[in-house]
Parts: sequence; C-alpha cells; structure tokens
Amino acid sequence: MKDDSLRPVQIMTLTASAIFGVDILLVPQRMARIAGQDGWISLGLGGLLSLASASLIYYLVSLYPEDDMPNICIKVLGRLLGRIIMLPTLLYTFIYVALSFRIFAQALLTFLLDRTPIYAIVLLMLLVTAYAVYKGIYTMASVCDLLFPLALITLIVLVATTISQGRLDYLRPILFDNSDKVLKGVLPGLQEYTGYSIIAYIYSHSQKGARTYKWYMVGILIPIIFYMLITLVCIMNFTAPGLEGVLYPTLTLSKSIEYTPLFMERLEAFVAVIWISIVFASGMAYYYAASRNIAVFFGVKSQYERYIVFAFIPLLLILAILEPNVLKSIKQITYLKTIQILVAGFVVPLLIVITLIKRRSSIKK
Amino acid sequence: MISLLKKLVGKKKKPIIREASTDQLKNIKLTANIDDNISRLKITMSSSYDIVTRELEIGAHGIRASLIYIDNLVNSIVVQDNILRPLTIYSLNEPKGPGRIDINKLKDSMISIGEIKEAESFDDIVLAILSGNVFLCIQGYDKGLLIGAKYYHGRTIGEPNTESSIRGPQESFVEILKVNIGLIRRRLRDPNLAIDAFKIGKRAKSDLAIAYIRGLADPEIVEQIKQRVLKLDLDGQISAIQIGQMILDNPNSIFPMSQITERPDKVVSALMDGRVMLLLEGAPDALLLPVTLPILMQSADDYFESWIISSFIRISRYMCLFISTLFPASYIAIATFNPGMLPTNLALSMAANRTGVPFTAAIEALIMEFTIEILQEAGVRLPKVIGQTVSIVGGLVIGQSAVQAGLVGPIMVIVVALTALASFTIPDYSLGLATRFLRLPFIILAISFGGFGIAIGMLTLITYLSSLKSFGIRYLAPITPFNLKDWTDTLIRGSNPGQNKRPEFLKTQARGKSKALKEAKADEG
Repeated sequence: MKDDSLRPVQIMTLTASAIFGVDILLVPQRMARIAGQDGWISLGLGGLLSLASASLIYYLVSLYPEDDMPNICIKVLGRLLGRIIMLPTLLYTFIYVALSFRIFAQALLTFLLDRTPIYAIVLLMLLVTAYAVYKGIYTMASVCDLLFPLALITLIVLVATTISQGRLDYLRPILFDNSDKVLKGVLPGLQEYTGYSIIAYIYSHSQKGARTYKWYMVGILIPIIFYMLITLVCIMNFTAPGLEGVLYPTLTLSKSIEYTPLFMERLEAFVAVIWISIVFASGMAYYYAASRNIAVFFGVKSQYERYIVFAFIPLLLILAILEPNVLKSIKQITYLKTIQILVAGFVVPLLIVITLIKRRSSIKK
Repeated sequence: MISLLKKLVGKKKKPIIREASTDQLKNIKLTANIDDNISRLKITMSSSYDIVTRELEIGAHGIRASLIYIDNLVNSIVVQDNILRPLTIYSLNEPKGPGRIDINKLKDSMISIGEIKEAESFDDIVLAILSGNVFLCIQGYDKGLLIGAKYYHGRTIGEPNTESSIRGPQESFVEILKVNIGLIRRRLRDPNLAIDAFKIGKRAKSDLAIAYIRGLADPEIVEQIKQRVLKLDLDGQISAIQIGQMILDNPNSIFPMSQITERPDKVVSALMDGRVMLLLEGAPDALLLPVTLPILMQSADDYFESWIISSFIRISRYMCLFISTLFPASYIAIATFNPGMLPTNLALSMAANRTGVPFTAAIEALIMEFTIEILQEAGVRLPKVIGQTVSIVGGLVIGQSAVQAGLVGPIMVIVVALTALASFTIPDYSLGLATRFLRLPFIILAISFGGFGIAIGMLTLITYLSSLKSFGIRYLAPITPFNLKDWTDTLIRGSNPGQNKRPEFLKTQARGKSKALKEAKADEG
C-alpha cells in the first residue's frame, strides 16, 4: 500500500513541535539573565536570524529532494568525511533527547509528582517516544497534528490569563542603555529555535513545492511569537531580576492562574500534564533525527532501522540520569545547541557550495 | 513375538472415509445411464436423508427421468406446479417422436421457471443442488437441467436491535442475502451499483456479496478487498465480520477496523460515500470498508435533526468517548496524587465521603469497575425476562448497599456509573468495547504515576491510533491528516449545503454529490 507524503501543514506542525519542548519552560529565565527586561527583543532578533538559517537548510535539502541530512553528508563529502561532519549533529540530537527529558522530569517532580523516582519518569517518556519513532514519520506527523493545537491553546490561555496580572512598568526602560546586552542575547536567542533543523530530516518525505516552504516558515514563526510573548509575560509578572531566580518560570506562571468558575483550583498540575505532550512531541522529532543519524552513520540496513530505536533507550536513560544536578544539565543543553548553530552556520553553507560546484562541473562535462 | 507386540501396541488403522473434493468432481461428467448418475450423486452427497429423488416418466414414450433436490431448500409448490406438472401431464400432448425428447424444448417451452440452465459436470450439479436448485436428469442424455426453485425460511425484516434510532427507517438486515440485497437495491436504484459475488469457504461455499458504486469507490480499494477475499483459505465462516477480521490491515487492533451495521440505510449512505460493503449469506451483519474513527462516531439520528442540534449531540458524544476511557483514571490521579488541584470545598467533601472506606481509591475503583463489567456481561447473556430483575438487583447492590456497607465511597459509584453510561453513548458497539478495555490500563497507569501516567497512556494511544490504517486510509482522517473540507461531517455535522459533498479522505472519485451524477449522465448521453 503506497504511503502518503507529508502535507505542507504537517511540516508546520512538525517544525513548531520540534522547536517547542522543554526550552519553552526555560526561555524567559535564560533570556532575562542575558538581556534583562529586553530579553524578548533578543528573542525576536534571534528569531529573524533563525528564519534566515532555516531558509539556508531548506535550500540545501531542496537540492536533494530524495535524501535527508545524513545521506546528503555522505553523498557530498564521501563516506569518511561525511561521517566525520555528521558526528557532531549525531551527538547533539542524541544527547539532546536525554537531557531535555531529564530537565523536564525535574519540572514534573516539582509540579506534579513529588515521590516518583526520576529514572521512572525518563524511562516512560523514552519508551513512548521510541514507540512513536518506531511507527514511522507519517505517524509522528499525525501525532504532532493532534498535539499541536493542544499546545497552542494552552499557550494562548496561559498568555491571555496572565498578561492582565502583569505590569507594563517592568518592561521599561525599553532598550535604554542596554543595546549591547540585547545584541549579546541574539545568538542565545537563536539557540532557542534550533528545532527548525528538523526540516533536514523530514523534507524528503514531504510534498515538495512552494507551499511547503511557506508553511515551514509559519512553523518557525509561531514559536518565535509565543517565545516572545511568554518572555514578555514572565517579565511583566516576575520582573527581570526576579525571573533569574525562577527555574521554570512558565510553569510557575501557571501557578498564579486561579479561575474559580472552572472546577480546577490550581492549574499548574494540569498545565504540567499538557506540557508532557509538548515535550514528547519535541523529543520525538529529535529522537527521529538521532535514529536517522545513527542508522546512516553505522550503515544500518533499512529493514532493521525501525527496530534499532528501542536499542538506544538504555544509553539515553544513563545519559539522562548521569548528572544529578539539573542546573548543570541545563548548561550542557546550551552547549549542545552551540554545536547545532555551528553546523547550521558553517556546515550547511559548505555543503551547498560543494553541491553547486559539483553540479556545475558535471554540467560542463 | 515382536510383530505380535507391535500389533498390540500399534494403533488400529481407522477406516478411511473418502471425501469428495471439488477438484475430483470437476472431471466427472454425467453419463447416459440415469441410474448411474443418481447413485453417484447420492453417494457424493453422503446419502443424506433429506435428498429427495422423484422418479417420473416424460412424454408419451415414457422416458425415465428423475428430479433430485434437497427437501428444505426448495419451494415445493413451485416444484409441483412449475416442474412436475408440465413434465408429467403436458408432455403427454407432445407429438410422438422417435422415443427421444428435445431437451431444449423442455427448457424453453415447458418448465416455467426463470432460472434454468444445462449442466454436465458433477461439481456444478452438486453445488447447485446444495444451494437449493432442482436437478432434472433424463435417461439417455449426458446432460441435465438445473432448475432454480430456491426457497429459504428465515425471519421477517425487523427493527435494528443494536443500532436503534429514533427517527428514520426502522428496517434491519436478515439472514438471507437475497432479501438484504433487495433492501439495498430498493433504496439505491443506481445502475452503477455493482454487486460482485464470491463463494467463501471450501466447505460452506456461502455467497459473499461485495457491493460498491462504480465511479465513486476507489477502484484500488475495491481491487484490494477482492484480492484479499480471493486469497482466503478456510472452511467457511458464519458472518462477514469474521471475513473482515481476516482481510484487514491491522488484525490485532483493539479498535474496530471495519464498520459493522445491520441497517440498510447506513449501508446505502456509505456506498454513496464511495465505500465498499461486504455481506455474507446467513448473517445480518454488513461490513463497511474502509473505516475511520470519526465515521464510527456518526449515528443515524444525526442526520434527521437540525445540524446545530446534531453537532451539539455529536460533540457531547466525543466527550463521552473520553469520559468512558479516562474518567475513573483521572479521578484516581486527582484523588491520590493531586487533591490540591480541586477547589478546597470539593476536596474536603470528597475526603469526608471517603472516611470509613477501608480501601484506597485505586482498589475501590478496581472493585467497582469489575462489578460493572460483571453486570454488563450478565446483561448480555441473560434471557430478556430475567434481565430487568438482574439490572435492578445489580444496580441496588452497586449503588445503595455497597455504599451503606461502607465498602465504597458514593463518589466512586457516581464516577463508575457515569463512565459506564458514557460508554453506551458510542454508536459503534465495538468501539464502546475498546474504551471499556482501555479503562483498565489507564487506571493502572493512574495508580502508579498519577496524571503523568495518564498523559503517557494517552500519548501511546494517540500514537497507536495515528498509525492505524484501513485500506490505506488513516484511521483518524480527516482530523489527521487534517482536511478542513471534510470537517463538515466529523466533529460537527455541517448544514445541508455542506452535506452535499462526499468525504475527500475516502479517495472518492467524484466529490459533488448530485453534480457528479449529472455529469455521468451527460457523458453517457
């Protein structure tokens, strides 16, 4: 039975889901520490940069409509060099899954389950994620289709209910004697959107065309808007210096919602439950990327590829619980994202240039 | 000595009863000797008592002939009036010939029955007799006549039992395929309605009808269903439901991967949406393929009320789907892990109600769920006369006494009762069963991990549902892959202009309903 291809809208939900994730819990605190009350401006500028970088990746994969990133590396640079250039991305995607689940498990411990051991939470998350990846990219896209509206509604409700509680004064002064910090925050801002590189793995399964690109851009724009909004609201509620002391500001924010007509009194447990699906969707995208990278790196035959996803679980679990201090994990994840920025900034243009040169010379011949 | 032991120990050889297989019969042809033919036919059909052989003499010359049929499968009045009478009485008036009769003359101008054909090979004849035809065999001819005089006793068309509706047609299928096809044809006078017949089972050889509308149903799906049906290797089946289970993509799915219905009107509207129907002789269950979850949530009554009302009812039905699966689990999660989520007053009253109950909320829920399961299962098995008594006794035991005895809290009774009620609002019985089954894993997840467990369970379920496919169509279509045009009949039921379109996700060939027909007619003209 012929399998369908990813629709442009699904590219949007997959991209947005990959970008959201555990980062949305941390963004406001991270940005406030770097750029103070203007953190949201850095996020916006970083977002613009991410759109440019994403377009570059999109251009690269559209040169190879049948291949995804690891295959392109091998095709362009050969077996050995391609593997070497692939390695950082492989490590990044792989470790990111473990760390993001670790950080999220800590948040769950704080807000939802206080007595459950952390490895149990991470293991369950890993199992579900592996199951989804095992079911293949089309199933994953469908899952994102279902979960994305849920994430969007939660975010809208969260922003809508808390924006009125905040004070605009905390945002001021805007860009007053702070522009160097804002500029310093642009690269960390860009880091928050690294999930956009998921296009390198899903483009080959999509319906090609201009609409795909359009929806892909929308898929990046939505997180940019919501990251900025969440950061704004957090600063308005906690003030920039106050935010630095809050580890999971987005969840803490939901604690302040008290909506008596609803029969729930404290919404943060409810929000935490919904957040599981958001982190799951993003973890799923990274897990898929990691499994593709590893499959190509070790030359796994395609018929076994879907089974090896379960083989990673023990390793990922160990990686996740290796570091007892969650603050260090958060730091590590930031380093990891730097790798991704470097790959997107240098490796992708390099691959494009080599491809174009190769193609031109072959035309001449 | 050894040989004696061997004889003692060794199994006795059972007498082999040779089976008549169709392949062997294919090569055997009729002979000119009538006695040979009759005795051979009788042996082939195990000399059963209900095989009737009526010997007679045809024409003035008195040529020997014989009618062979099975007593309970033919209409004896038809046999008497339309076969026996012309053969015995009218044939006397035939001009005297050279001692032979023209078999074509018998066929064309004597036997007044519509369905009649010549036959000479044994497999055709045996199968025809077993399906209710009368076989006429004449001395001196190596050809016989198969005369259709089928008559099946069956119940009359009644009201649908499992899919009752308030308005709309109240007819349901019966066990006779002919009647069922008639019920469909009566509602759908489209010359494009194609009904293909297959013989299912090496032994049963029952008729399986596959119906679809040419030009609407995706030919790929139709072809695939036919291929899979032809590949089946089995003795026989009771109902199309079992055939369905064998040809589906996900035979292990707990969710129904085919829609089973006993309503002809449902079948007709499904056919007009470009779906395919399977119906087996001997069972009133029609199988509709392909199927998606939103289709299973549609009820016949949705289409007989205003679209606003229907949409409201349908949305509440979807909520019932969630309640039926998740409500007890959510209650446990909140009561044991996060009572702080509830408003203080509610949390306090819940705690007050539970004082004196010896079990934890989890055990309480498991006990009550099990009791409900017993009640539901007993309700299905019990004769209708006792059913009411049991439901009253059961209801009282669960409701009043268990609470008064202090075994369970009253809130738990409400939770479990509401859950059970919600599962009955789901139009498709099998889908209701799936939610009933899923309740237990969710309860266990909630006991172990609270809200996190439920979320994990839900994510697994969503992944599983998204991965299911029914003949190439995603089980959750058109929710995902998202198709806004098809939403007019999914979560809501659109107003009538919207209803004029066929669902796109079923890969229907013509989308506009009445327009397509006009175009087709124009093409023909």
